[in-house]
Amino acid sequence: MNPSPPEQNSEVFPYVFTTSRLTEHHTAGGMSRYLQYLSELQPEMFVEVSPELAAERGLEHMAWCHVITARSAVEGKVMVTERLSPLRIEGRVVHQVWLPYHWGAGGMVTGDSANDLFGISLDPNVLIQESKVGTCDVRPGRRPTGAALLDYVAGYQNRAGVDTDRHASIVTAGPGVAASAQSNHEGNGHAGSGDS
Amino acid sequence: MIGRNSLFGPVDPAAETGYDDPPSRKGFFTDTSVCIGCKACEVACKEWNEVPDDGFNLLGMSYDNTGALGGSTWRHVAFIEQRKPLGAQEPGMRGGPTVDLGMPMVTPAAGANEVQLPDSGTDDDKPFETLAALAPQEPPDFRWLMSSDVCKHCTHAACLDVCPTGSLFRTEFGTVVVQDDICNGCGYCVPACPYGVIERREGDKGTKNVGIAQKCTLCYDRLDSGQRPACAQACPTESIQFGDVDELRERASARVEKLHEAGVMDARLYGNDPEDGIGGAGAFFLLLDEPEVYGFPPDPVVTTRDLPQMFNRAGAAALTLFAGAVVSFLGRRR
Repeated sequence: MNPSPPEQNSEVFPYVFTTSRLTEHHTAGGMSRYLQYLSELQPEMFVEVSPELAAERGLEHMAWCHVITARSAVEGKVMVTERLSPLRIEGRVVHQVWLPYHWGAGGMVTGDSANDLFGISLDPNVLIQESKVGTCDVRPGRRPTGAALLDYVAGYQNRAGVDTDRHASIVTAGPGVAASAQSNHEGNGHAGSGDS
Repeated sequence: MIGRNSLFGPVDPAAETGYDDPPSRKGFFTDTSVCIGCKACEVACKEWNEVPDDGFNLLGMSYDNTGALGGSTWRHVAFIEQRKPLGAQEPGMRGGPTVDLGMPMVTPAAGANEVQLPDSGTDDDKPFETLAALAPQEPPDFRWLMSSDVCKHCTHAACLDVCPTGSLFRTEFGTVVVQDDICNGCGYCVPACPYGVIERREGDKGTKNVGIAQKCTLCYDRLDSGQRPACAQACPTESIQFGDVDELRERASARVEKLHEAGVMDARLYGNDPEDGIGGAGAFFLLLDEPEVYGFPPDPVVTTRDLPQMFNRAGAAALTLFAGAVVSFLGRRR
């Protein structure tokens, strides 16, 4: 979905993120968010970042922030924790972002759904949502709402070069990488020669 | 019946209260070294005792959104994040300033589709040299302490000593229980507790027992029928152990020795000593750091310890004043 190195414009979404569970909620929270004893234990959507990333993006502990991908933006409270460490990949420092995926519109406690950030695609083997990892940007403050949100995400799509139906096939390792990256740079998204 | 240790010192609380041939004293040993922070104890406690929720507030204290014990919180799991190694265990985060995933190096510039595999985990790899400037100076050691707090069921319980209605009472199991139909909500017990455990329930009008002092009962209504307290039964790792206090104290000492042998020298017991300020807790803990780290007072003392002394001094002062008044009247008659 988002361009990733060595593709062009990958700096628009400089961080990696993933989601997982909290012990207090069951799947997306459709049952547990209606129970007071579970809702009080994890009452609100939050976004975990390392102290290093918080400093880089000006994120304050327990203040609002939002996470953006080419598909949408979701908001939550910032949780600064040393449990998240910056990663070192191919000689670069890559910051991680972590989100729980237990919130939605109904129940005693509500919030944005982290699943909005991912593409709608199924793993062909198990027919369940693909691996919940991706690249993103994180910004302080709440996300825009309504039409402004669509414009906001469209801005990101535009800068990332994924706002049209033209999209590079994504090959990040193995034979053909160099050629693929080269053609991406020249044609801005018409590589198409590698496996995807 | 006031004995020498009625207000301070080691004593069997049930026998001291006047029960003839009481059952052995019951309590908790909470071994925080195996707590996984699942909060099953909190939920089980609330389910069994019909305790209402205490607000949907994100606290930002790691995964602890409960905060503290109170009128609507009888079990509280604390989460503490520390830059310390976890005992002798390897948390997998000590390789350097950043975590190296050991992924293949892709170098498009080389042109030959070359894939380099770096030696993982060492800082000497040349491509990483420039990262030294970005690195925090301390190595990212990390450990996550979790601890389930509860009423200590003190040998000398100040809450019970100050209760004017008799709502708080000592059970035959040596525990301390509030009778919600007798409590009038005066609140004397709240500042009396050296741990800040008991509180009057806050909430909207119509909430069960709102305004009434509430705390852990050690599931008095389950002990009667030979059941374990709900939290101990729900605990999946046996971090919360229920049993006879004498036996639990032995078990706890053995566990500390075992941890020390394994190199976890920070392990210590809290509240197990009958010679301490509250005469030993019925619910005591194995901690992996100073008590203050978990929010426990380091050296709690029962707030009624000095009552006899205060009473004697006040009595002596009253007698002195009375004697002075008598003398002054005697002096006038001359």
